Amino acid sequence: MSHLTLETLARIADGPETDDEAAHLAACPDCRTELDALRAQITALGALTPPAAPESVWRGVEARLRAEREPATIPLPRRSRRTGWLPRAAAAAVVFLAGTLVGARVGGAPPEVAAPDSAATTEVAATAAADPVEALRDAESLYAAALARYMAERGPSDPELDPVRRLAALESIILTAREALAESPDDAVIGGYYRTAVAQREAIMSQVQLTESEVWY
Amino acid sequence: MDEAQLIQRAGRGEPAALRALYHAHADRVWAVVRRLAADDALAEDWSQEAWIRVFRSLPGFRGEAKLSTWIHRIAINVAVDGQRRRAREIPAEPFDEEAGEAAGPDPEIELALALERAVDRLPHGMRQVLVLHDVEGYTHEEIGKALGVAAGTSRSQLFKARARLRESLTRQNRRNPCPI
Repeated sequence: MSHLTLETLARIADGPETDDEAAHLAACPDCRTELDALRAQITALGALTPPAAPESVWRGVEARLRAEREPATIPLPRRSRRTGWLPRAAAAAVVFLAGTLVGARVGGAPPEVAAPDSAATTEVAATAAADPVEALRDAESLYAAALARYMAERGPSDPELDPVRRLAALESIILTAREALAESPDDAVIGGYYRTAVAQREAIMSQVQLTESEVWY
Repeated sequence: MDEAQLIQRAGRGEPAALRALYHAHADRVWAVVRRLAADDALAEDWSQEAWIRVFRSLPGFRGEAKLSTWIHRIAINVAVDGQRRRAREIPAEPFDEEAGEAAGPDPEIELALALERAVDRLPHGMRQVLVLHDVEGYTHEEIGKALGVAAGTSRSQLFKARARLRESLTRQNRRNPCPI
């Protein structure tokens, strides 16, 4: 007589067994013992107590909340200041992220509008040192136009549009920009993307709230 | 301050209300995120992300679910999304049956530790379903929706996970007997 598999017993632990399985269990003490052990395992899992959250979680949350109130305190660009290639490269990366990540579903294809805008704004980023304020204005308009075109093409009623994922993408842009700003706080282009991404995030929040009833909770 | 006032004040970003809300639900959020992550550092990142998302979404909380349920499910969504991103970057981890330390002398603590360690070592797909079903008490329909899979897939993953966990605990018992 072959025993019931553990997977079968794991299923039986939740619900009715077939007649054959019941007959086997009636005749097989080993399988009954395993079934009892599986049931004890399930009970023990349900009785696990929640471990205490480490203090570092709140410290991190608090730091992020504080940082989010700071965009207004990011210093305005000074015309005389020349920025290095690294922050501009970071800005280009942020723009690329904005083009490819914002609005794209995880595992889905990036929106078609991304490539031309990424290329255009990368050019803007590359000329930032020449006139950072002008570059910032141009980059912000291109970014805003790209997002607007994205919204127009995909449409707010598009069932594939997922504001929560867009929010997560914007969050990574904000984090990337914030790190770059920590190294180069006067960089106008990165500062502009940071502020734009924060503003977009706030705008998306209202959309998330509108569709909240559709998510699984 | 009652819960409705707390939500209102936290929604306006009042630091004391945010802190009070956090401390009221922190352990439960940490527990589910830590169990889904099976890693302290990841769990810390995901918990922080979950709380930031909770605080940002508070003005839109309409009270259709209990606040604790709403927060808990946001935390699960963040952990599931985090796991998806991680799965794309890192190949599936092997099932490490040998890992684990000797447990303490108290049989109940010993059992809980043995279970927690064995759950940590499950492949992440099985771990997610097992934690959400057997630890947190969600239905297969709810789990399927959270993970983006059919309820039947959740069921079959659960049975595999339970079997793996049982095998793992049985092996561990042979080396270091514990009550299951």
